[in-house]
Amino acid sequence: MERTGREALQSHLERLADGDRDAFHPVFVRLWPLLRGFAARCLPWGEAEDAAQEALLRVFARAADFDRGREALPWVLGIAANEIRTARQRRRRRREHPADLLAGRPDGGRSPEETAAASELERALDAALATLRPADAATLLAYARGERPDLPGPTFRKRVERALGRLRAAWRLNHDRR
Amino acid sequence: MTVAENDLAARARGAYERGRRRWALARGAAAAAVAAVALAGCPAPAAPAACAVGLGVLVAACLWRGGAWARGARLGFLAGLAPCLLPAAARAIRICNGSMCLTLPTVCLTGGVVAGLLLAWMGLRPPGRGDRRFWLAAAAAAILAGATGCFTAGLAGVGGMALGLLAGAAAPVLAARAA
Repeated sequence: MERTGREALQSHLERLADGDRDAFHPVFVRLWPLLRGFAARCLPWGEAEDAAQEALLRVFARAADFDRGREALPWVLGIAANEIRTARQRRRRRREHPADLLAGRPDGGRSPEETAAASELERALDAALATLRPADAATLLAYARGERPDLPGPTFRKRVERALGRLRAAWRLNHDRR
Repeated sequence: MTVAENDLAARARGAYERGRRRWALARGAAAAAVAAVALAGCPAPAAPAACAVGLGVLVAACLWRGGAWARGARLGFLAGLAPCLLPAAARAIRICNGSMCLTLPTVCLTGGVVAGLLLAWMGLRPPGRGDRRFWLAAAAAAILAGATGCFTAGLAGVGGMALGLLAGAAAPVLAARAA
């Protein structure tokens, strides 16, 4: 951000902290592109948009706390950096426990076409699973049910990845020869 | 702005107002808590406690509104601390032992003079100077803070504080007019 922009942000944020509601729009117009760009450098697109929105809401929620003695831009970017860190942690947790997400997914109100397509897919999946070694099939079934065999977490994850790779290869062989 | 941006702006405005309300309430509660120190050793705490609560509400409302209201309430609260806490300090060092004593109204009068001087001396500087909202908030906060302490000395205490406040404020105001 160039110097005049920084100074404008500083003065508008000070006015907003002082309770001048007219300063809301100029602050919003300056901050939104700034935070979106900042988040986009650190996160993939969808997550960056969410993190930027969260950061923007957090900045406005804490605007009354803004101290005139501080510089506005580092203060804003500090809040955004916190949000980005939180988004990264969330993503890491999601990667570590994908079964939690599958378990929480709603399955309400399928149409007959969707039900037929799903049962066809299940049959095809059963056929692909049948081509795998029993140990791989058992690993994948346990993973799908959210069960954790008596194994250390990283070992189980590695087995799941390996079994998924073999399943993908079997699936491609039967259904996707293009 | 796009529809999505308008929606985001509305959410951001809501977040700002909620944050500001929370911030003002916390400071209002802190102001009431500080003023409540004046209740220490008070034989009849109902009226002073009501003043402390009123002060908290007033400070919270003015800070939430912002601008001249907030500046006035801040200064009024600070100035009002003198008549608010002096009577409690007088009781603490046992200037008088009975439930009623003639020294306390004098202490309130002195506290009022200090508050009035401070209020007028600070308030006559820009940006407060000439702004009615500033003076209204400052006077209300100073009176409520002072009354919290001086109600513990009865109506004579409150009267002494009011007199002192007027007398203290009059000197700098008259000096400013003469200049």
